[in-house]
Amino acid sequence: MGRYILNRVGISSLVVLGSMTLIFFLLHILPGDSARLIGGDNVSDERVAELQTQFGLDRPLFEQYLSYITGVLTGNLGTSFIDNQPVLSKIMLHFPATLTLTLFSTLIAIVIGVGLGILSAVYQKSWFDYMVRFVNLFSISMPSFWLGILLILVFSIQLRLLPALGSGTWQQLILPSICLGVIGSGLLARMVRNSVLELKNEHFVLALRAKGLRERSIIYKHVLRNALIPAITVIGILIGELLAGSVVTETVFSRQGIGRLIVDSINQKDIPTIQGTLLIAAVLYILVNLLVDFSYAYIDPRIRKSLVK
Amino acid sequence: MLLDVKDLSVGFKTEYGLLNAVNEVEMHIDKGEFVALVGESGSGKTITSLSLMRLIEFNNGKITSGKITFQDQQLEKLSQRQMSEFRGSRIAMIFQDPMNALDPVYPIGQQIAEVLIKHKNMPKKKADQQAIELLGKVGIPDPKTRLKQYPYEFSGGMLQRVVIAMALACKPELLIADEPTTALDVTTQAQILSLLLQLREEFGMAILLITHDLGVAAQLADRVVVMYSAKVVEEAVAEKLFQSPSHPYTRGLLKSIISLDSERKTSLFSIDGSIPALDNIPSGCRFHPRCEYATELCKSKEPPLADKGDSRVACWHTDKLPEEWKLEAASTLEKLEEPDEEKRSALIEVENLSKHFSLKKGIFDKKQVLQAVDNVSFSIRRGETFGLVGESGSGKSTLGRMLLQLEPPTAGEIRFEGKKIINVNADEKKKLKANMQMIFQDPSGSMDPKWKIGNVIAEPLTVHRNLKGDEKRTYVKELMQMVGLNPDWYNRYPNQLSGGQKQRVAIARAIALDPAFILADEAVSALDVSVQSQVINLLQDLQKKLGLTYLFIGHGMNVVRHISDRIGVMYLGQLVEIAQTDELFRNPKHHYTKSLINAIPNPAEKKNTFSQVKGSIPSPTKPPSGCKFHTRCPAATKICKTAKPSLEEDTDGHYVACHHPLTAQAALESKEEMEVQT
Amino acid sequence: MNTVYSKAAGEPLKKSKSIHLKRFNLSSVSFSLSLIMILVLILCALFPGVIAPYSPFQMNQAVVMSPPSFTHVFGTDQFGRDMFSLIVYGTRQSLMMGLLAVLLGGFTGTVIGLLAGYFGGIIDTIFMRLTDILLTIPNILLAIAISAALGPSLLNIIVAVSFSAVPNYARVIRGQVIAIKSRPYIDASKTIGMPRMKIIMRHVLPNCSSQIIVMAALGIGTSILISTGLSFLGLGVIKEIPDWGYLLSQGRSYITIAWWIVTFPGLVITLLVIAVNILGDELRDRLDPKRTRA
Repeated sequence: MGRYILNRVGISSLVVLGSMTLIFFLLHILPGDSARLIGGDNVSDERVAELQTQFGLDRPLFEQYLSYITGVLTGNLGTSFIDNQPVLSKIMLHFPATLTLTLFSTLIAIVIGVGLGILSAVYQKSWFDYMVRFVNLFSISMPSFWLGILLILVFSIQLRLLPALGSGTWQQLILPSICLGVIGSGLLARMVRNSVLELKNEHFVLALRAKGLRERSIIYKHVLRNALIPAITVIGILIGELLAGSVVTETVFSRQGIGRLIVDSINQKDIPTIQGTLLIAAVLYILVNLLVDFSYAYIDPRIRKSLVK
Repeated sequence: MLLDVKDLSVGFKTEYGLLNAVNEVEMHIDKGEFVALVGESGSGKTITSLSLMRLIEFNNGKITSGKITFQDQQLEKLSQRQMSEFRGSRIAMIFQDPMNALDPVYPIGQQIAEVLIKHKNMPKKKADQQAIELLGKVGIPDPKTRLKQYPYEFSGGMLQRVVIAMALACKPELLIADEPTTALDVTTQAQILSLLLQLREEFGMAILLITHDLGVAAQLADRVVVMYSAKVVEEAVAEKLFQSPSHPYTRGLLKSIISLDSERKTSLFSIDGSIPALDNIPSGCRFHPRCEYATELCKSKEPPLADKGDSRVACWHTDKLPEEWKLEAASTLEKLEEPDEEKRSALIEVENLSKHFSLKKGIFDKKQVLQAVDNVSFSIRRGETFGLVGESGSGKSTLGRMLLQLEPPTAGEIRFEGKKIINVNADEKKKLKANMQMIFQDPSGSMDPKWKIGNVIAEPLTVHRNLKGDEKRTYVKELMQMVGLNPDWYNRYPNQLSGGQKQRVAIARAIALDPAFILADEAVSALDVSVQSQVINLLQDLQKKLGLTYLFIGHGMNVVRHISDRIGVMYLGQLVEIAQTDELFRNPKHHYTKSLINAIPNPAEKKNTFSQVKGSIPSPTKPPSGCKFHTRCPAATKICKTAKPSLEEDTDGHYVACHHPLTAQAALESKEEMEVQT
Repeated sequence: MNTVYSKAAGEPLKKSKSIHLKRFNLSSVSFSLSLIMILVLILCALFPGVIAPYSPFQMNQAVVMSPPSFTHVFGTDQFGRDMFSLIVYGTRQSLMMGLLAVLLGGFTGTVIGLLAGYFGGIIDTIFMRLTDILLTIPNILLAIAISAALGPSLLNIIVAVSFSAVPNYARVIRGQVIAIKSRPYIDASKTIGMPRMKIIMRHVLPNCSSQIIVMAALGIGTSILISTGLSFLGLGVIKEIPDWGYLLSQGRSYITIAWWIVTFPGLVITLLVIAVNILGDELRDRLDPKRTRA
């Protein structure tokens, strides 16, 4: 087991390093001159040079890269170009709103997605199945920003039930969570339905029927346990997507989250902040996948046993 | 009577309507009787067995008519819920591929206990206890620990034992075994068949064995039912069926079996053509397009399954045909010529050839080495057929792939016509490639599904001969004629051909460049019995006509024996014995060779036991020390565990790698001894 | 001679009956509706002037933010422009972003997948570790980062969206190539001495083609969603003729008084993506060898 964890963690840290490098170079081959942008329209050349020295933009690229890496390793994500705040504290300020949103929308997606996926596979070709598939098709084809706006139109403006904008209270969490959760549930339901249907055709299911087990216990005891394995992969991917989806959703609902932070810093060309938020998103994604790997080991005996040795 | 099936028809819902996969099948099984249902692929035998359990309904199938009477219950009238009370308790089933027959995420003990809890309402503790007992009964060592293990931790043979234990948990009255040994190795197959026979004695149940292998059926069953194209064509007591079959199809199948006493290197009996597809069934008697005795009556009217006293046959000519057959000369088969002595110089020489694969999972894992081929030396003579036998994992295919340069060797040397072939320049490599060709096991996989078969055959010509247009077309059509394919099929796609036809295409492609050497890797293993002999005959014909040299890799000892001049036996990456074919079978010197020979089913003798070798092949990543066979060898001593025996010439041209080789006399004695033991 | 071979090898299997004999069913109805939807939008992209009743530049102060009516079926926006005409004129840009991104991403991904899958070894390791890293940044974030780095332009959005899709294509194609590589017909070509590039072009690529087509078809939906999302966030191109995502984001400010400005562009995006997804699913069912063989 120890070696397995070591292996996964080792690979993941390499991937984190890779993502860091990628993000850095992606943002630094940027053709626009940030110093000039920050200075404003009528900035003098002296002022630009001054700003460049201030932010260390005049150093060779590789040197900037090294100091960035060492900074990250010591917990320093740099300071914002705009307000001279440490990037880390800015992220920490915006983090809770995004985390709660991702968490709740994931929960909604799992409950609805897995539930509908299983039921529509069990009752394949029934009206229920057709209905679920139709709704799913809608939810995976809708732009999340449009769904968000529709939700605001209906629940805030027409019915005046829930607040449309802002973050902080639990009421403000409901609409954005539903918005993201519904879209996630479509992806999940589709996948769960497919894998349950595929498993229903597996040879061992035929063998289970030959043992005299009833359909109900075959589905709920055997098929679902097996379907869990691919479902967990999808949930891992889904959490990443929802995290990313929150960028758009937070804009729609004016939530003070990481997504807003990114969009704002892009508009302001605040490279250290963009860099830091992207990095945090990547690290989160990698962590989620690490968890996915470990839960495989818990569910799939083929992996679990090979670890104990 | 335990089970009585009357007029059973089963259809499948398809986009084009109902496809009839089982047609008016009639059969019965008495209490404690052993019945074999025999047929080639597509005959409907498996669908029949699934229909008896009413499982076919889960696969889109539907019982369209007929009665299935079990004891006094009409099974076809029960609801699925009522039916589930029968399944697993009174009628149990085991399947072809044990690897896919168990839920991968539950321990096997729990899966056995599940049956007992469901049908006998047993408390969990007691069910576990019973599961341990059952595992012991099916010959699984240390059942208490293995109970908690998962399916992937078992070998195929062991897993089939688990599946059998599960099937027997509730002491069923009828056990349906659907090709229970087809997916297993030869030595394991003998173990499982013996186990079935022994358990039948113990439990007193009836067995319905579904198989394509007439040899197995003949040895085990009391009565045999033969199916062809969704219908029963003949049914008789086993002895009667094998001594005097009444249906031309049964007779053809029997004659296609290559037995150990058949004369080698003769052209084999074969049934023309192939089994019709279910959506294209011939009129009248379904066998008539392949039957040499067919008359106008056969083409127009379907014969009923008529009672003939000691058998039931569906043929219009049963009155006169068996009589005719008795008068027929014993064998009119032509003997193929042996190649001239002068031609017998070495074409391919292999020296100390090894292939090691390294397996590594994570960055912190230790490297594992799989010794697929381990220090092998032999030579293949010009114009001969060299047979290579061994069970799965013996490295025989890897060896072949190295000869054809599909896999670079880790160490060692290969010489073709006296010249080294490893690391040669591009020009020579190209020349070599034209001279060495290959025929694969899976006829469908060996041709690009998107290519027309004419182009498949022409592929080597485009690389080496630069033939174009009409010239190419004419040449390909000649080749097609040579392998017995209709040249008009030039523009067909592979999926429009049957397995045997595809294998002919593969052969045409292999001979297109007039090579000196052809590697046939399990080239007939995937084919039906009746088609298998057609392809063997074709290979033998071509060898004679074109002076080809073959390396024939196979796991079926009887087929390899028939076609080969010399045979090499492989075990865990090593050649353990090489000899002239007749010498090898008459006088095997290695204990492994002998057990392989003994495991061959022989329809001529009825047996209650199979001589068998214990255990299964160890993993090639952790091969045993010393002689790799010592863990399974009856004659193993201390020295076998420590010292590796080398392959040495024992008598003229007979090589063996064993510390205690069998002498001719000992081979005979220990064969008898083994049979007494088992 | 003729009789000898045909008898020995038997007759060929009958060719399966035509697949066009399908019964009338739900899926074929939704399939044709999707096809019609896509055709109409393609026409809008090609000939917006013929279809749109008004010019997209025509601002009419008299009808600012008027709700849908017979004269303005989708209503008018804050400048009094006809929403329906704006959407029709925005089709070209929105469709182009989706299609070009798929073409570019699909092509790059396919090439990488083919090379990595067929050659294996160090090439494979490098490409796959790279995609591992790319995959850690969710595709919309990656697209945002790239378009932020390159600045707003139509081409940059396309590059950003296609780049974010490359890892996905590369992985799937690589998997497919590895599966095909182990088929005996590849070995057969090798024993014949077929050069490697020819094997890739003649055997491997044609046998991946259905997978590529299906992925591309389904990828159009995702690309459209991401590219409209980017312009919704203000990272797109501000042109005189706005695309659908930009239209939507403009309408947000008037959401309390003019629901139609945000509703119709979103509806068109959704319907288009649904149509593309249905088409992709249908293609998958027809082309996927795993499914058609059953």
